[in-house]
Amino acid sequence: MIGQIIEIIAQQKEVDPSEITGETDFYNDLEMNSLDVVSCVADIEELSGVSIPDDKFTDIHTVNDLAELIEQLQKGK
Amino acid sequence: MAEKLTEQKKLEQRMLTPAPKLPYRFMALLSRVLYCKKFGVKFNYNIDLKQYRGKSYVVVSNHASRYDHAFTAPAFFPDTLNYVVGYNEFFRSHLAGLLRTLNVIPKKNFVPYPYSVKQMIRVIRQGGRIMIMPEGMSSISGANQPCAVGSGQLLKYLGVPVLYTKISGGYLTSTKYCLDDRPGRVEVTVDLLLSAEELSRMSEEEIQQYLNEKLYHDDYEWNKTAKVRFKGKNEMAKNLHTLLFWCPKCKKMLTMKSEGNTIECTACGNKANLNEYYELTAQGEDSLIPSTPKVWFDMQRSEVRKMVGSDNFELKENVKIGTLPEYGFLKKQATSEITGEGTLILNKSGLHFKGTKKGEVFEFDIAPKFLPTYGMCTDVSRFYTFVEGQFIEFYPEKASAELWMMATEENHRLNGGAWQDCYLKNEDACETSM
Repeated sequence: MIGQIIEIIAQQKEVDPSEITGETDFYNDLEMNSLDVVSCVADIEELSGVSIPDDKFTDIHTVNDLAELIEQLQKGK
Repeated sequence: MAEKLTEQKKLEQRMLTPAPKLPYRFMALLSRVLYCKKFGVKFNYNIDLKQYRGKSYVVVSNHASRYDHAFTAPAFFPDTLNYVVGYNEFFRSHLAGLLRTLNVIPKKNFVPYPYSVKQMIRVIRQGGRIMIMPEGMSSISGANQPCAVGSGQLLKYLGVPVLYTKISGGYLTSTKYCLDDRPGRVEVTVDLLLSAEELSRMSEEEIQQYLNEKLYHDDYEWNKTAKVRFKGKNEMAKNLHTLLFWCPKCKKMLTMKSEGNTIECTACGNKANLNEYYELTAQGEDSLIPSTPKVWFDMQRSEVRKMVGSDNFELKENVKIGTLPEYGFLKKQATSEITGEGTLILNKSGLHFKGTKKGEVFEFDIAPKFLPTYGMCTDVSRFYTFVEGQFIEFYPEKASAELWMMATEENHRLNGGAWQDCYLKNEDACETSM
């Protein structure tokens, strides 16, 4: 999952995927705004088939945060 | 055993696609048949829509009344639009099925709601079109509220052409203070707001400002020249006191009463007649009446602003509270089910509630900057907000819903809120309008 997330972000931000790791922070490292993150999440939701609840958005800062959340939601499905 | 999902969870797990053509077009045609003739709807096109047909675009519109879908969907036919509609509407039994069938996008008004934004992005990416009424609620006063903060940012992000409709006469057809149908004439003007190139060139702030300017409309001012008669069955002022609660003569609040075509102050006898052209006429030599209900509304706002800005300002009332059902839908056009009661207080530190909900203690506090305004589902009798994402509707004991709304808006604006009123008329202009 983490590789797919990185690919989506790299495509959206037009950066080399090698520049993004699990620790990469959406806001501080990639200078994404909240709309960028929402848009990225929309893509990842379609890929993973799970919908991320709004109250979890504030917990998402890094690529790892997002990957872990998706995994949790997939397990609970 | 799998957990039974609540209606709210089910709604927020949907990933929406562009509106399905067949049911959408059927409903757009039905709207045309049912409403366009009845309300005298005329469409004026300032652009040739053929160049946009079938492509992705956003439509924005002033939100004149609860009939706006009927005034706007036929204008773009046969193109389909995913409307963005208040979240709570999805829980009303007469709308629930239709809104879901047409892939309407739910929006929790005046609070951040990423789910809604995700669906808008999704629909546009798939080549669809969305319809947004960025004021967030149908007009309270007959003119616009400022667009919700962030509208400019969203339009820039979506990056597709933005068309707009300007609805004139829609409010006077079905006002916020009285939901009776008053057929007359509605004019819907369709135009381009911003091309994709213009969006990319302009800043988010510039787009926001332009949006506010282009969508602004005052139905009362429009009708000074349009001279349309709206059939009001001799009840033109019915419930007008719920909107205009302040007396322009004795300056008292919540003393107005209305009946038939007349609104009158029970404290000083200041009285006016409202005719089918929505012209206010003072009754009696001593009466002091503004030129239109909108001018009255603006003067009232100035008074409320002064009150809110005063030392020790506090508004307090016992209210019932309503919530959305966890399972099933609201029946008989209800907007919530009463599940509690308590005391609502507004002061400089924000909105505070102490009481019960579903038999348990329920309390909350919201700081002014996080509470720009409320939603009003139907008329001016009750209001709602979202508390930690949960819909809470307030039913005040008195006819004070508009006082609560104005006071909350001005409290937000006076205490560092981002949603400032770009239309607040200066007091001199209001004084000379009497």
